[in-house]
Amino acid sequence: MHEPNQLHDGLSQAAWGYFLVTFDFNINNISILPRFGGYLLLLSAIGKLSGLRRDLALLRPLCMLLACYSFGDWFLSWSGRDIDGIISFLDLVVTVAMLYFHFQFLTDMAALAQEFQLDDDNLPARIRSHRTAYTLLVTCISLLGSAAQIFPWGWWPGVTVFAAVVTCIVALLIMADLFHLRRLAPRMEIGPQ
Amino acid sequence: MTDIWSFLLQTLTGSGVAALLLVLKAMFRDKLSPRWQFAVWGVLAMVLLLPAGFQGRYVLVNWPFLVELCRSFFIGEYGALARVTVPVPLPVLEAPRTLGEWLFVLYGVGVGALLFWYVLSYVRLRLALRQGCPAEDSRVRTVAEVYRLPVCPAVEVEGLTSAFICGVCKPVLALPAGRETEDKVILHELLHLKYHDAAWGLLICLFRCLHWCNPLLWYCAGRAGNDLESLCDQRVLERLEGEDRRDYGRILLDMANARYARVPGTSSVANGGKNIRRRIEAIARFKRYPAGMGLVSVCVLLVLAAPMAAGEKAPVFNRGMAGFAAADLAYARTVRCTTYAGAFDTYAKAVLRQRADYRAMCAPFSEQNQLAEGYLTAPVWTWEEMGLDDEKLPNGIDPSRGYQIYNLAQVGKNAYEGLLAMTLHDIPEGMEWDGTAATQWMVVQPLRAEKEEDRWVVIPQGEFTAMQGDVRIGGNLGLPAWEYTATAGDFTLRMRWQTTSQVDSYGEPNWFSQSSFGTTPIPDGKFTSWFDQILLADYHGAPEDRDKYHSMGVASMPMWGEEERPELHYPGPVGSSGSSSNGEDWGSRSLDWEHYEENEIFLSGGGSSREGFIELPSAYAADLYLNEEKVAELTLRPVKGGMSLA
Repeated sequence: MHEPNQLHDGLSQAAWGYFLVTFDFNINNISILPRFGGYLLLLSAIGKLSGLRRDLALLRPLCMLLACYSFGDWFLSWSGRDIDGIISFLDLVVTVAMLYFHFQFLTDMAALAQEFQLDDDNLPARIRSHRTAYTLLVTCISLLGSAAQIFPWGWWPGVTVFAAVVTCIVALLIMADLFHLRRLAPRMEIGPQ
Repeated sequence: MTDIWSFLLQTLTGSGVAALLLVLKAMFRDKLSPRWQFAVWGVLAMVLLLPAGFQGRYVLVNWPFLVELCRSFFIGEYGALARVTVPVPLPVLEAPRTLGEWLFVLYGVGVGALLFWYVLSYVRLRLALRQGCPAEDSRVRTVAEVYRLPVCPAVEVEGLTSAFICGVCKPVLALPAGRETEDKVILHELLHLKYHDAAWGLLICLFRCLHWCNPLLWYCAGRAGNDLESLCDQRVLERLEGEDRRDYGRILLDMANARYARVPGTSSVANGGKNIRRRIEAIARFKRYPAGMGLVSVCVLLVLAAPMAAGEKAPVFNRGMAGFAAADLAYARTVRCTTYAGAFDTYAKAVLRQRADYRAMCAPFSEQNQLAEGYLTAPVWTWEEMGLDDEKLPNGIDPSRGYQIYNLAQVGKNAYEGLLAMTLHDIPEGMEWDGTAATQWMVVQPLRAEKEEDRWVVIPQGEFTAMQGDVRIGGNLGLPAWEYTATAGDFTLRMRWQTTSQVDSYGEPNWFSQSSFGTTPIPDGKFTSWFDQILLADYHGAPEDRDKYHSMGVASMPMWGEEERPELHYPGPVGSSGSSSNGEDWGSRSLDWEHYEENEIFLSGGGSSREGFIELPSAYAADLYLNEEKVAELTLRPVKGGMSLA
């Protein structure tokens, strides 16, 4: 039997996971908030919440892939290198996996909020709209990277930085949504999957 | 495609993308809808329709390099690059001689034969349909009305095992004669009709023909065909409810059609046991995908398609490829100079670093074999090979001082000329330094950049010459410049116009060090150019008359093209001066004849910088004032070019 506060733990881990995945502070190219830590937290959150939402278990392999890739990136950063761009094939697989993973994870979180019939009726819709914004922003950043390859205009970096800042704000809103969900969610036992 | 290497480049580029899509499809098999599963093949179709290696870019894997390495290894010839202009085989009029040429003929014959076979099967099928009887179409119409679908003429044909749509422009629904076709099968086929699936099938057949000898792409074509069927199943299931859905799986088993399998322009597929099983599994997994999934599906497609369309540029290797001379050279040849500035920059850095592989990046095809011959025996490009005299130039060129391209001029639609100048470490033997801090010894060489196919190349226009530069005032007085002159009375005005261009190769300075000149070529670089103009006046009147002139004022301005002569500034009283960034200059000075050497009067000098290329003025307008009175409105015309080293 799972512990009664597993749901609350899972939601906390998901919220902090989003923080670590989005905010990547570096000192001399070394990340002090490694992204793979965020994916490990999300992996743990999936484990804790998949009893309530069966579809979440489908995301486990993608989350493991993202955690491994982020770890590789962090590991290489110690030698002053960047994993991005070494193998284009892998970069694309990871970008696509990331896009789908966040979309589906947040869709499941919204569905979870819907199932609980919380006092805050708007929370599921809010999670879904933040999910949509996050997905569109990640797509935009990726497209900007490709567009900059063809049209080397000077203002691309500015636009990309702007999109990245907005993405960070949306990630903070998602974090707030997940903490809000945790606060409102009933304390319940989650049965074995 | 005109040779086997360009076909190889195209088909390998497609294969890389196909492999990626197969991985992603496996990853998202149970996560994304059949619509996405089929639509993602559009990315492969796009890559197969775009010429591979366009502008030296590659998709996922640096195929242009690998193909070039194979090409140079097998045929040992460097005078061309595998290049795809259109992604279909083009006829070659010359008789094949080499193995590669024969292989390309074989490939072309294969494409033609498969195309012929597909056309033949289609014609055969159309003839068979013509012999069929028009079907009683009330059932077809009923199904179409219930599900609001379009209809087309239906025929019953003997020997058919299942129904299918035939034709893209004038589609016909073929039904098996002598047995009743299930409504769900008719629904399935009418959905094929509605979404023009026969046209997709035709496109898939076209790719099969073009890449008939690539088993991976054949496999993908089969998968795409099956995904099209699964998508149609999904559309059927979205329109059915409860028991009807389960029933549909059973019906699928009857829809296999081995006789007219995969005929182009039809919805008929060879539904082997494995594919039927896959489709039934998909039916078992059936769910209505929420509207939001459409968003992520489109985003995933965009994220995949954009880098495939944009491609990647191969970076310039600084250290070579682990000692494999042949690989170094093959790699360098595939990193194309995409701008004329990039070509000049690459050539200059090839000289500075004595790198023959850098030279290969910007050398014309006609020189590649000779370069390769030298490089494969000794990878360092010696000063002698460049045309520099080793003995007379001790310690060679100083790479840390970079280079400048002087007097860049456009000499044709796709041709530019300029004078390359680089600073020497030491004074050449037998020469002397004049001892002033403003002078330095340099080597200069006239160059021409021109377009060869889709790359820019540099062709030296003369030998290197050692010269003493002089940077006392704007520009370099030791190096040539364009000169414009006009005469009025006892005076001749001379405008010296010189430009300097360089691709910015200085890195950003940081807390610990100043920025230094980077010697890695920038093959897609853009020039930053400066222009310097110096206005001089020569007195050629009688010596005893010169004292009657006590002041001189001049206002001047460059003119471009057929521009009308502009109104010029009043140069002002003695001692005043001014200038504008458009090149206009004005000023007045008193004439102190004691101080002028050979009656040459320096009037003004200045310049400005621009991004890119600075066009040469067609003339200069100048107003001459003597003793504060305007005496002439002159137009200075060019008399000397900027490339002359004489």
